[in-house]
Amino acid sequence: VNRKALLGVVFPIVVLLGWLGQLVWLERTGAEVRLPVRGFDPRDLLAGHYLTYAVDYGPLEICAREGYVETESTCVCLAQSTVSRLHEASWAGACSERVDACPVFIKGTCNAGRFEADIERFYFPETYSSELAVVPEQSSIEVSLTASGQGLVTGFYVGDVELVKYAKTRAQAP
Amino acid sequence: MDAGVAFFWLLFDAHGTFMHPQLKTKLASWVEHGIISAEQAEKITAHEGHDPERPWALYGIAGIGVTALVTGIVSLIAANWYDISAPVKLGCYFALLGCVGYAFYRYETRPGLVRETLLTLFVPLVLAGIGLIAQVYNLHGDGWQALLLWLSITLPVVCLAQSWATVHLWTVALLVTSFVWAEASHAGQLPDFGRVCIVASLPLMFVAAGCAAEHHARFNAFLRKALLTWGALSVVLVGTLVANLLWVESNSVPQEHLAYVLVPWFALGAASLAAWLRPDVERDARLLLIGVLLSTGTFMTLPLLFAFNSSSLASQLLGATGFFATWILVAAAAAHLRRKRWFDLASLVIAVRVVVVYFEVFGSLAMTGLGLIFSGTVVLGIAFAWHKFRGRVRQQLGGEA
Repeated sequence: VNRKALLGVVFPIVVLLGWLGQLVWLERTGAEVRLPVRGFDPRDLLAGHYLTYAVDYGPLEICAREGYVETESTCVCLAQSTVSRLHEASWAGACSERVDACPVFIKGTCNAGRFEADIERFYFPETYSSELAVVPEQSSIEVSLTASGQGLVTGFYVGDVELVKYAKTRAQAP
Repeated sequence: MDAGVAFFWLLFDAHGTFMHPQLKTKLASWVEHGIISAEQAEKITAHEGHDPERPWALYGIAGIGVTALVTGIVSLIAANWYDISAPVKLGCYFALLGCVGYAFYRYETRPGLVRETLLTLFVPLVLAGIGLIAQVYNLHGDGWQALLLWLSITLPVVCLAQSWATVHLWTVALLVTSFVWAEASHAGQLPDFGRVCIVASLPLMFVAAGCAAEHHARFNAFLRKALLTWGALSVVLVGTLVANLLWVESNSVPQEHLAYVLVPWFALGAASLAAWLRPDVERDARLLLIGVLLSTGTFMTLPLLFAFNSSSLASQLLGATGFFATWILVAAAAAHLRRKRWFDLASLVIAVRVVVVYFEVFGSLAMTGLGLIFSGTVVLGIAFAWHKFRGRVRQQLGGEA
């Protein structure tokens, strides 16, 4: 057995499979939340293959709080709004200060005054690039959250319609 | 004759043996002028055609094929073939990666075109997989995380390469990743200058690793040379260019961040030590190599430590002097190490910089005249020195090193 060749070939495959397994696990076991999103400019040069957006966490100012440090990990507690049924921020602060009373939270960083949690992108088929040139009104994302606050986007909706179904309908419209 | 037929006729001789087209043309010319006999030409053809290290054109054709294949796979992934479910897409991808990996494993002990083609296919396929997973799970990053993951997990297989394409791709990708990281918003809590210092350290670490690896026969020779080449090129070409800009442009590095400059200096120390300990390199050449490293480092650091008035003639003169001094050292080191290409590169860079001097002083008529006189004199001096020393290098060499 050529051990070096075996290691060289198997190692990347095992790492990729492990990463994939972790994502599948996160997708299946995480707490699901629904967050409203809105268009974000300037758009990416590769727009047409994915939507880039800003998540609307509600009226709470996440990155304008007192004593906030730009590069510090920020945690945002999420609670479902009784009116819209979507989730919004109920508390924001340094992750070290987060209280156990908020079990559903997302972890990210404040960048140029905007909270980012690596959930700000959604891929779609390029055939719908003209229908999805901008983020449609009343858009929201479905996010799966782990106990450590890591988020994974599992769906994108326009109202209650899935993004691709919405794009198909628009493409078929006269 | 059809163009395609003519192309393959140029590559292969009558026996179907691969041959470099330029060599074939030259052989025909030498036989025609009576420099060599027809039998000698045939012997050369047979020798060159059966040398497994020579079919670069064939490697090139295989490379184009691999590039087209990988680009096609990446395009398919990028098109986000939505009608196929994610498990099927991922399943097909892993099946393909596994097949290519297994084929490489089977061919690993048989050096040649097939082995290298499979390796050159396997390495970018891993990156395509990272992109596919990121697309399926809508992952969002700055790019450097994906590149770093790719570089890390492919290093063991890259160390098995016996051709240039993969090792150069890996080395350049590492440099590019460092740039992307420095520009990214998620690059940690380091200030901008700290990131720049870390990026500047990487080529120096390449040089250190490339020199140190000469002591270890088991270290991949192709990777070692690629690290040395890209490290040295980045240090002298990019380093002197950036350093020169620092002398003529105002820079405002906060005093509290200046300590980060120790990071590239630590890397420079490591590179100098590794260069000094290089086996089989004569003492003068090693001293010159260390001189190039120290000169580049000093030339870059001084304008950061002292608040020079960038608009002053003295500052511009010091900047130009540092540039010329470094590149003259490069030329001298190249001459001692018998590297013709590096010597030619140094000569070219110095000549181009002299022309830039002319543009720097361009302004009034008097300054234009002075600039022209200075540039012309120095270019003539360089031409003379180049002619004199290049001949000596050629005599010492007798061929490209």
